[in-house]
Formats: sequence, C-alpha cells, structure tokens
Amino acid sequence: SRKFRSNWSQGDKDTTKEVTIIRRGHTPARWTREEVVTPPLPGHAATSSLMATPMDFKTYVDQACRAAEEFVSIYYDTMDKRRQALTRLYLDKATLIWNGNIVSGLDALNNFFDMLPSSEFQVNMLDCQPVHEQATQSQTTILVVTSGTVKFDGNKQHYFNQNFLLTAQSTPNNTVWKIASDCFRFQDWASS
Amino acid sequence: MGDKPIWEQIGSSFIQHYYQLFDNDRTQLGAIYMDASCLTWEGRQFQGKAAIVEKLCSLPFQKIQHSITAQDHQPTPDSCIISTVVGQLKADEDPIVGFHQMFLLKNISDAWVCTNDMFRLALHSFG
Repeated sequence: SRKFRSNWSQGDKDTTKEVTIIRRGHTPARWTREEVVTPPLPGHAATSSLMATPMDFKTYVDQACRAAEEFVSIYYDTMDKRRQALTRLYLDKATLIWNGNIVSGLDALNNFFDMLPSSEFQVNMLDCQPVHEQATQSQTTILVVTSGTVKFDGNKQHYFNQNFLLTAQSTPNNTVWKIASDCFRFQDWASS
Repeated sequence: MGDKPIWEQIGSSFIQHYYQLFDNDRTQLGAIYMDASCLTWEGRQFQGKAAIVEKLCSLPFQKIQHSITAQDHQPTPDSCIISTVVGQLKADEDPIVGFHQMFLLKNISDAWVCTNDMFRLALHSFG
C-alpha cells in the first residue's frame, strides 16, 4: 500500500542557482582514457562519519554541478565522436533505458552503442542535484538531467531528455565519475 | 502473468499519486517530501519540504492538468528508484505544453518519499 508519511520541518532557505547552458566546444575536464576525472569533492560527501564541519549546501551544490557539466560535455562528445569508448563512462552494472528499451550491464551496453547509428547531439539545458547522503549510504551521487536535440544518421531531428545518476569513486587526489543509471527518451516519443 | 518489477510498480504508483495530488490539491504534496528533499523547478533550486511546498503552491495557475506520455522506472545501486516522466500539461487556458520530470524515491521507514525532484517545461517542442 502507498504510505507517504508527513514529517514537517521548519523549512530551509530558498537556494537558487542560475540555469547553466552547455555550449558545444566547452573545454573538457582533465581526463584519462575516457574517464571523467575531477578534483576531489570536499568533505560534505566524504564517507567518513567523523567529518568535522558540513559544508554550506549551496557550495556543495555548485561543486557537484561543475562536475556534472564537465561530465555531460565529455559524454556527448564521446557519444558523437568516439562512440567505441562511450561505455568506459558507465559502471559495469549500469542500466540504461533508451526510449523504453532496457539495456543492462556493460556487455549489453557495448552491443547497444555499437548498433546505435551515428549521432549529432546538441545539449541546450542541464540541471543537476547532489543526492543527499541519507539517500545513498555514503556514496557520492549526483543526478543530472539534460535536454536538447539529436539527429541519428543525419535523419530527422528529435528533442530529447536524458537523465543520469552519476556516482563518484573518490581517492585522496581525484574523483572519477561513472554512470550508474541512464534514461533517454525523445520528448516527442509518442509520435516519433 | 508477467508481473512488473517491484520498482515499476512502486514508481508508477508514486507517479499516479503525485500528479493526482498536483492536479487536484497541491497543498497536500508536502507528504511526499522530507527535510532533505531538493526540487529543481525550471532551473531554480529549492531545499526542504517547506520551501518546496511553498514553491509549488505559489505557482500562478488555478487549474492544472498533467497528461503522461511515457514513464520509466529504474532501481539504483542503493535501492532507490528513479522515475522519469515525459508528458504534456495544460495550465488554466494556456496552450498545451510538454514537460519532463524526474524523481528519486527512497524508502524511509516503510514509506516511499521523494528526495530529489527535477522539472522542466519542454518549451521548444510540440506534440
């Protein structure tokens, strides 16, 4: 049965963030062999519960979103120009739903992206949220939503939406981001 | 029989409940969020149940109706559910416009709550 429990709080301050538009040609992050590597995220996301001061939420959001922007830039560049390397951005057990079709695990992802026609993506919008550690058992996780247009094999243009759950593998020196979950759909899916 | 996976059942049940509340009485939406929830509404961030409900209740329309074109549900590595919706909505007498929304659902003490919610209008596409 559905139960949605009430749990009123005092309410927090409204934190606003400007919309960030991704333009083609954005300088990618320092990256090694199609991995997306960013400077380490600060302490808020640390797995240790002994971490001293929680950081300001807005700062944490900003840092997570910068990582998301760089990831997205590399993802679509790789999708369009180096398709064979794309699955390096996914966890081994990642799942994708592509216009309703479920693709699960690296082997299936490799087959899928191999068969997918060549693409030309234009990302017009990106939204990002860090996932609160209460929801992720201490793994640093961010949610990213993108939208824009895409042409496959030079065919007709579609508006698309895509969302990613990105997880961070953190070392003292850097953070490597990979896709755990991916969901892609044409906005005009019903009539396409 | 071919029962749907549990995350599809939970996700689609949540989606149905969410849009029913939204279209009929947005003041009741608070029950699905928690203190740590985040909403991104058309690019603006709102943190916490109270701020989220205030934003949703302050949206400037009397009537609103959502129509879902497609929904996708995925389990995450830590037993949450990502539910994604593509659809259309009509506010008051405005033209129908597309939208896209994504929810992250978590089970807390036997109740599924929304920890992350991201909404965008599809202002450049029609149909």
